[in-house]
Amino acid sequence: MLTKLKIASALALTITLASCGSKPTTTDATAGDTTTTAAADPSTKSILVFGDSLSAGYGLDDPSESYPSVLQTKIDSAKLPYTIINGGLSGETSAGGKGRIDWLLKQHIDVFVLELGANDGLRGIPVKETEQNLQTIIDHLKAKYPKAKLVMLGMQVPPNMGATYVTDFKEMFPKLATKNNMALVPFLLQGVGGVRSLNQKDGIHPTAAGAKILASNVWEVMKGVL
Amino acid sequence: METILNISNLNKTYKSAGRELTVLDNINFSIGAGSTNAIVGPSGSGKTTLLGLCAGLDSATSGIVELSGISFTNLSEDKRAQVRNQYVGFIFQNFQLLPTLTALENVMVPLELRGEKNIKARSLDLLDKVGLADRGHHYPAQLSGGEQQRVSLARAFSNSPKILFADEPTGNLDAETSEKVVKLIFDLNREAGTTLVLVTHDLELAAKTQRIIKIKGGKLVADDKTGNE
Amino acid sequence: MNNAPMDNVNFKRKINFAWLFKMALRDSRRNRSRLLLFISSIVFGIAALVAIYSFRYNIQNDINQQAATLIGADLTISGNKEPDEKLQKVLDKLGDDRSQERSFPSMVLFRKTFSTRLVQVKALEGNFPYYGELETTPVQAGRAFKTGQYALVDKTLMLQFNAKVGDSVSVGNETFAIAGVLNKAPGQTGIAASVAPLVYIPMQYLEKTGLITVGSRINYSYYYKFDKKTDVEKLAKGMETQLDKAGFNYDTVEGKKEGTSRSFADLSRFLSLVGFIALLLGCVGVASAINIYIREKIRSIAIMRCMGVKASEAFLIYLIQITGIGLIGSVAGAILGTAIQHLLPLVLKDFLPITISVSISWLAIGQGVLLGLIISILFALLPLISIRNISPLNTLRLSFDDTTTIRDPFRWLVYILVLLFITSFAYLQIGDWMGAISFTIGIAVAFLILTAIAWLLIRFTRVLVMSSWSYIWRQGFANLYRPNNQTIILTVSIGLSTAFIATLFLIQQLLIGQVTLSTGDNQSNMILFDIQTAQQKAVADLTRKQGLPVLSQVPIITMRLEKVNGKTAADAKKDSTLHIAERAYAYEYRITYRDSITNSEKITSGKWEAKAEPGKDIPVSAEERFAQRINAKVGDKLVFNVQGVMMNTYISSIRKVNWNKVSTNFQVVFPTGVLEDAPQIHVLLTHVPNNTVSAKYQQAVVKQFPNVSIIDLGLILNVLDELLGKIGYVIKFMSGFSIITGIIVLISSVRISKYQRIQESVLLRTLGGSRKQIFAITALEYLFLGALSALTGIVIAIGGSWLLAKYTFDMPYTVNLLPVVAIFFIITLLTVIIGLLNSRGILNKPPLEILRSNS
Repeated sequence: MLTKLKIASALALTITLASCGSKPTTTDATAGDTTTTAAADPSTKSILVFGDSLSAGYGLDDPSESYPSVLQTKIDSAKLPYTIINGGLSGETSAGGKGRIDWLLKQHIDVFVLELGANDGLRGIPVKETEQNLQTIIDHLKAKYPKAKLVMLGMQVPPNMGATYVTDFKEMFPKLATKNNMALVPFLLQGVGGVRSLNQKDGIHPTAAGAKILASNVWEVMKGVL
Repeated sequence: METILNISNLNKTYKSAGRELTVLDNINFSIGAGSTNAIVGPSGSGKTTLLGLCAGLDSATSGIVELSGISFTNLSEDKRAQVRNQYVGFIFQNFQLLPTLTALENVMVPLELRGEKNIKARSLDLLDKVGLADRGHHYPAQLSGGEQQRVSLARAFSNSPKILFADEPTGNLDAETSEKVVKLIFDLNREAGTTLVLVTHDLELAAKTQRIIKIKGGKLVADDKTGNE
Repeated sequence: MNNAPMDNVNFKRKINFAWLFKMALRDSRRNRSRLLLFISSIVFGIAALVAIYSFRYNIQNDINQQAATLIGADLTISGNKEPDEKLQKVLDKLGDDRSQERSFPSMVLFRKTFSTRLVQVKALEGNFPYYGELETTPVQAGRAFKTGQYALVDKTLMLQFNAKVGDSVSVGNETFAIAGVLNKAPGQTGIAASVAPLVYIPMQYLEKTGLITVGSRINYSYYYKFDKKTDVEKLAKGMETQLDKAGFNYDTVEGKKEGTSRSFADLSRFLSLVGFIALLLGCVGVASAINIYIREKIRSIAIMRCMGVKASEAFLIYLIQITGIGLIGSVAGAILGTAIQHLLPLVLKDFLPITISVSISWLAIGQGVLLGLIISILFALLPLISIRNISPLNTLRLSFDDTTTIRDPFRWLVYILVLLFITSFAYLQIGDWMGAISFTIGIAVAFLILTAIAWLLIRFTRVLVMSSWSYIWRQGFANLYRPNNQTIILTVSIGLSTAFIATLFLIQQLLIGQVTLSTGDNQSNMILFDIQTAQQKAVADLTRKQGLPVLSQVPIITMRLEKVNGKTAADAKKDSTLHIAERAYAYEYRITYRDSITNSEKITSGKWEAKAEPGKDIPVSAEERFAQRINAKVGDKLVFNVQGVMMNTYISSIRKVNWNKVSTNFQVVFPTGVLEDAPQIHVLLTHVPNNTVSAKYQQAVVKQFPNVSIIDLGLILNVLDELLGKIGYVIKFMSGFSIITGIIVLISSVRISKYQRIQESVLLRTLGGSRKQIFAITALEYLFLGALSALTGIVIAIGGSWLLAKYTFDMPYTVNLLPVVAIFFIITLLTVIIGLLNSRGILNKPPLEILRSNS
């Protein structure tokens, strides 16, 4: 009886505290480390990847397997003076991002990569609402660092969500990118979404191999920006 | 006259706090069948102990108690119980009726125990003899002392005992009732030809018997014929 | 007249059983009221036992039925992808009847209001559910919706969108008419149901919705019904590896049952304990009541012996009597127990939010009657065998010559039988010999302790009583050691009764403390999360405007643990001697800040700090198990990475958290003054009284704050609450009942002493002792006996319940001293009162009358 109880209340709490599931993720002190690095070495520029579990590397064994980390190795091998700040947070929604952005903008940002909305989509939050939130985040960034370059990572929701919603959701990203003059990666999960072997058991989060493809998708667009 | 009870060299000692207390000291006597006898003596003289031993309620330290030719010496309590059931009748000072049984049932017990027939009729007959035919369904608590003693009398005679032991049968009764009960005892006794052994300190009662055995300090001090028939 | 030869005496007289029965019956006639105590011990003991057994069997039945409806089929196989060809072939062959289901989240459109909402769509084909029903309004819709283009829509969802049966709802490209409101579906009592409301559609229309294409995330479920004889569990186990490989898993009724049964394990164990204790109390009661009874019967037995009744016959008469009365008592107890089990839920129906199914359990009744009979005989045997030693001499002079009985070898046989009985009964209750033997040893030890205490008491009071004391005190205390004293028997019986009662009470309190979760009005059953800082006030206002309470509103900040005492994840990985769980660094911690602890928390070490001082390390409070995982204690330094900002902290206190309560509990709590500006979301807990209010509230929240997610825990909590309610109720009731048994036993134990003190009291009275003096002497004797026995009993109970809590129930032990003290005083008082009532008769009647009636 007690065991049952504990499970039940623990479940309730898990839901309370972790919206889209926060399993242990070995990761990244990147955000913190880079803060200090950025401050210490003015010659490096910083890229903020502002996202959800996909950026945080949810479910991966090693933080260095998440796509922002893979991206960093690509930047390093291209000998570009950029350091990535991983601002990924599992379960983050656009509304959450809106509240969090100011905290991260305390440090200087040269390139801003926006990867949010997936959790909104899975939760069926109206596209209009998500769109407004993302716009607010972009506005905050522009207000503080008008010179920063912007990259938008597009997302899609699975077809089972219904055609109208799927379409509206998918179209939101190019719309925002155009409006705000952002570089656009049309679909972050291109070549990974729906491919079982590249996803973890839950069918949503990419494996390490999948994350590599994600990084390539982003790199295709980003190398032009840098 | 045949001997029904034979007592020889009877001793009874109790051990109390490491000390030996001699209650009966070398008692010898025998009682003839059909006779009436009284054992008298002051309190603490050992007369009740003697009665207990004679009736086989207790076992002697040494010596022989022979009832109707049966020696109690080597008999177990259970066997003595059966001897009692067949040969012995009892009358007690405080009646000792089973409180949970009716008067009639009390009378029936010894007969039932023997597995006899016509128990009820015979018992009712006995109750009639003691003048309580109509009180058969009363419980002891509903009877007066005299009535209770009469029931106990009927019970004592129910198994046609060879010998009847009576322990201060009038001790708890008033003078008038005593007289009636005593008369009844002697009448029934005569009618059934039973031997009577009466323990009492009431010399007037003792005088009604044929023989008075006096005990004092655990010793037999006198054994007199009264001349009664 | 002939001199009868010896062989005329029929020594081999057969035992006439008919007569023995007759005597047994006759003898009981005038004393039936006196046997009341004996009967009442049996009646209450057995009633408790039968009621407990019946409850248990009924609850067990409930669980079995519940378990089947929980999954609705004998076997369920499910996975989140389409089965491959090989598996599909296997799946198609399984079972005697099969159904399948595809489920997935989707946005559905209510055509009337033209509003969309995320739901869990379930497309069903076949006769599922095989156990239980899709409970709908109207009732027939649960099956009928499969006949056409119909849908079943979750109740809350219907309310939320003001939808009516007959309205249309679009799922993908297809539109369905709502055939019914879905109230309950098998297997939908879990969390999943509350995250997204359910919409059922027939599977034949699934394809047309266009929702199943490449990239769709679909759950595939297959439900099977088997003929009764199939061992589904074994079959499923055999398929486990194949299923596992294919990414599928299975669920069986048996498996579900285990899960549910486990939750009843504590209750079951407690009921065993109560049953055991009720029975033992009954035993003590029987032993002491028969003791009184036989003592009263000494004279009658002596008379019978004089009349020629053999020792064995006298023994048999009373054995028959006790057996008969035991049988009557057991049957009466069984009837009472069954009646209680039936009537109580009826009487309390209006007060209890639960239903306990009741049916007559013949098994329970049979067991109860049999046990009652065994106890009656077994525990009456000790006094009964002493009948054999009652001398006919007692007709001439009354003497209690007990010394002979101690050497009686039968006595030891009875002791062995008693031990065997207790051990076997304990085994039947617990189901393992080690436990049973431990129990028996425990009880034997309790018995010995009490006997030893009584013995010591006798020894010491003898030395203690001083001539300088007043007469009353000397007399009162001297009663404890003088010949014919009742010290041992009363100490043991009062002590044992107290120990049993107190053990039950302590364990009951512990269990009740553990099961109090409850959705009382002040317990949260709805959780709103992802509230942004800016929305915080508005959401709270909205909640209050709807007439709902804001039970708590807490900020949550996500952070990671960076260093423990300077050691990083890499250090912990390299050096296992640090004993820091690696996972501890991997979690994204959800942490709050506040200035005080909540009532579900308790500081176990260190000191709570309400506010952080600028420029210094931040004092944080760590949850007990979290501290254990990182091998940290008060004063240790932790570095947290708060989304890019490093924060140096130290553990100022360690908290114990009651995770059973539905509230927001945290592994780490920060003080105020540091995290106010950090990115945070807010969680709000409220209590909604019913579905209508819930729907209206959810509608309002979703409309104004679309990003806020709501979890309605009402359903889950209702289920849990119902369960716990049942358990708590059964626990309280059964222990209450056993405690009554205990008190009756206590009364009968003390009543024994009546017969020991009468003569003395009468004598004192005859010699001119005043009522007051005799009263005081009696009161002192019982006060001392009662207090000492109760105290010893309680000490034994505390030890016993600690052992039980630790080894049987596996729960933390705490003693609530107040009720224990109350038990002590009540038992002592009760002993004195009964003791005084015993002597009341003596005090009110003239001494002579008593002397006469007792001669």
